Amino acid sequence: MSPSVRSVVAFALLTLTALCGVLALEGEEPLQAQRKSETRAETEAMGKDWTRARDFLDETLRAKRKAAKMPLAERCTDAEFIRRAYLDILGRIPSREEVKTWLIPDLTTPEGQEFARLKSHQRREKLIEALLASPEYAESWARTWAITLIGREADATYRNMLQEWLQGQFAQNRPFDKLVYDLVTASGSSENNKAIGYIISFENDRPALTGITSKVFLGKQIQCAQCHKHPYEEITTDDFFGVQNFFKFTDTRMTQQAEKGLPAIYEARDRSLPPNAELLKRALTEEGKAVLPKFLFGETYKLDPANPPRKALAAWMTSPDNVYFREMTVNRYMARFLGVGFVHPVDDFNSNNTPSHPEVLDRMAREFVASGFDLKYLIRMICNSEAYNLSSVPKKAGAKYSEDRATYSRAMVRRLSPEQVVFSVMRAIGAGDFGSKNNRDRRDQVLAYILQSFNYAYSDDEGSRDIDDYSGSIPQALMMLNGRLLNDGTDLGQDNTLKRIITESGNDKLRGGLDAVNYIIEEIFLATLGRPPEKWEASRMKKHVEGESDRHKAFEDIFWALLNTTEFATNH
Amino acid sequence: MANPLVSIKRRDFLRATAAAGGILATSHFWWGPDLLAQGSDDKKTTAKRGGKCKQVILLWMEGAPSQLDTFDPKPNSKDTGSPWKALDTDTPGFTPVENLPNMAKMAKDICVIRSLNSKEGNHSRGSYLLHTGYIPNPTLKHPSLGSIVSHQLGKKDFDLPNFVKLRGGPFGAGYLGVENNPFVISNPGARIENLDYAGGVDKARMDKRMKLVDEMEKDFARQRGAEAVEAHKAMYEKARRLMDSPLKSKFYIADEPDEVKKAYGSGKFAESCIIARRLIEAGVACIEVVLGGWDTHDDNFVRTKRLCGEFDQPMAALLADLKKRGLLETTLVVWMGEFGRTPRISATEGRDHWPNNFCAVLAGGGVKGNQVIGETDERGMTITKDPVGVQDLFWTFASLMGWDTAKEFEAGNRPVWLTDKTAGKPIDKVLG
Repeated sequence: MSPSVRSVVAFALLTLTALCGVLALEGEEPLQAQRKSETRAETEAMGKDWTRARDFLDETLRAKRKAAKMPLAERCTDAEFIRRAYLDILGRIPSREEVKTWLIPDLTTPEGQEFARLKSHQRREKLIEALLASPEYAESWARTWAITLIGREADATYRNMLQEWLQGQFAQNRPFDKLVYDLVTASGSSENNKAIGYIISFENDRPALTGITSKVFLGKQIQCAQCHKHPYEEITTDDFFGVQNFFKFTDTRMTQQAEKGLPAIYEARDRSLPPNAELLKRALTEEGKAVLPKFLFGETYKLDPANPPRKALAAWMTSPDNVYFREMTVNRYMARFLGVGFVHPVDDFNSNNTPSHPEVLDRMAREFVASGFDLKYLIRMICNSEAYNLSSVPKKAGAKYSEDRATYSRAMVRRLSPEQVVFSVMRAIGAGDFGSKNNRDRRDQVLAYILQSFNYAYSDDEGSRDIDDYSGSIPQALMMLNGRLLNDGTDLGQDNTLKRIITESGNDKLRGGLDAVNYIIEEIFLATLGRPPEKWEASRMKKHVEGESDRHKAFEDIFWALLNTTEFATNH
Repeated sequence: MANPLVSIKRRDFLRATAAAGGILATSHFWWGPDLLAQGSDDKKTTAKRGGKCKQVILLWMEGAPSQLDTFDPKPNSKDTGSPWKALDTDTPGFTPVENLPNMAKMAKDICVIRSLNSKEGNHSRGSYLLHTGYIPNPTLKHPSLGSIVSHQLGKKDFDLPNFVKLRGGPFGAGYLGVENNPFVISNPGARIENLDYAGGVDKARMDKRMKLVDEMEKDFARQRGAEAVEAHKAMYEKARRLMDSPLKSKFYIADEPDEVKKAYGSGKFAESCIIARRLIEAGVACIEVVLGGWDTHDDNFVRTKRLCGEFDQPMAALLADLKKRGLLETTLVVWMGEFGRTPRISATEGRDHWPNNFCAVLAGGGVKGNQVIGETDERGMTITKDPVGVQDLFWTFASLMGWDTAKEFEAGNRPVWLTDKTAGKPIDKVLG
């Protein structure tokens, strides 16, 4: 939209507002409405340069911290940052080789020399760009979003379908508004449109489809209004069914059962609309009452064959002027990268749960829209911010976690998701060749097996669509303690990272001045925790090696132990 | 639109009360639900506190069992198509299908409800409702029966988990926290995955390994605060305690006498019922045993006959065994599924989904036996007496066990209770 078109739209909205004699519809606010704190030039530059929004984020957070007298944590070390960024952007820890690449530039190459000359924040910016450009970015975010959308307990057929489609979308960095529009309006057969994976996963359970769509994309939890008026919001059952009835004409079904190794075929279709308003009303009458499709806090849908209900809903949801959509998306990414969103819980925006930093949320959300709903633009804003670069060690010992969290005064300690654990363990022990194309099938088989057993261990996380919120369970601990993946992965009788480290330790050149034991210990730390050991850690581990008659067993113990620490199980 | 006149700010209120108690209600690392739970308000208490029932076995008939081919047969109606005779018993109204001869003999100890009903005829929604007492809400996970029992009656200092599920399936603790989640045994009777030390690792070596872990944990906690490692540590301690516990043998039936095994009969379900009884003896608060295969859209008669055969002898033996050991008085046994099946037989000799009227069987734990509650008409289409809602059933459980139904929990941002405050009441006839 050009600025002139935008002002026409804004003008039209203003006129409408004046005519109706009320304020603009709740949830709709013209994007270009200039904020008091902004100059015209600033408003117009939005979406073109993420550093401006990042600076605004940094400054506002600083001012708030200052007002609350919260001391700021130190900047995190490069090793901490590398691990954090890999986990957040690619969904796994870096391998020891990757840690070394980013930590210790290779001075024998011109690129390495150039990299060595960069300042720390420039190196981190380069790392973020490299990760965003990796194919693993699309894979990891597709996995994450599929879980957010349909949960872990969903049928694997639906999840695979959805994940495959999302991966393609993220690989081309599809604008998020278009992506969501396609998801919500998806129809046709699963053979040619995998986007229907979202809709069909609900198996015609329209209340669930309505509740999840509203919660995930708009941050509005209208579900409880299904049975009674919302406890403290002005949301009635009519409002709920008003939204639900946008899906009233949509049906999904299986058209062909799975057989001979071929997956089942599904389809999503919209029945044809009633020809006139009267018949529409009749079609929507239940128990003597007609509830027409109605936008949340907004207008009632008007019958229009060119604009069927589901498309009308998707267009309204993803409109640049829809405050809910843009703020919800930004809030989700803030929470995912920083451990807490401006609104917490992440997808529960309501009048009793307002943003902690409304001005930043507003600004970032408008920047996001102006960038063309560019998720990578949003990630750049967040990952290059001061808050994302903080250490998780508080400035003052005994600092209150909740206070630090509310003011973004240090990095949060976040539990890894089951998927992050799987992919990180595999990366640490060196299982599976992730790079080679030829190995894809084999890799997928191994992955499917491992994820299945992890799913068993994590099965009690069912329903947890909030991917950042885990507390762990006994089966999970049992799996880490006694499961095959970890025990084989650290067993020197097998081919794994530890075995490779031991072999390398016989090579003087590779050891670079360290003795074999110190070299092995250091490499184990890099492979598991993504950092070299502290002095006390190195000597403690050395003591363990010296106390064992079988040195190899001692190294296995160390590798295994580090995989079972909180440090490994969290992003910090 | 937000109403500016709403003066009670729920979250602020919770935060203030929590802060006053010195509790970090907003911390990410709370362990256990009690930190977030509000104190009881006696005025709201509707379920009687301190029931007789201390433990529960839920026999979950997955797929929705046909009421007509189990506990509510209609031998005189042609529409239902059932070829079965009904058995006569001394208990008025208790006429189970002929494929349940053992259960027929248990009439004195059981209470059959024939008038359960709901509006949820979809498997996942119906299972959710019958497991939690609430209709599903994608933005909130209600705890399932086993998790509530674990939370209300489970032992605090105990080697075993307080809720064990024999065979998988969803439905966990929701807002009650992970320690009330089911410990799922996907293949009952077989060695449990990851419960034994891995090859090449014995207790001594594991102790050494954990010592290294503990030292790393201490340093991590010193720098980042104790709460960062607490949940992780507690979970590992529970797991190791379970690994090393002599009670682990309760998960297997190898040392069970042959005559007991014989009494329960053969098959996975029979084996699971023995394990359930062993776990009751060990003190586990709730065991859920799953028998699948009830979704009889076709070939209904062959399949329901086989399924009746699978549960009839084990369930009757379980009740008798518990009674013999003096455990039935304090152990509630519940038989139910997600809904019933259509009274009219389909062209493929099948029955489709029917939530309008279906059965549940209750025994022990203070339930008044030797009775049938509710009645359906001759064709099995309509409830003619004492309809029972699913919420009524849960209020009844609450009464039998004395759940704290007044206690308010916080899930996400909203207040929530163990039993639905907006619907249902205890079934007086069950309580006797």
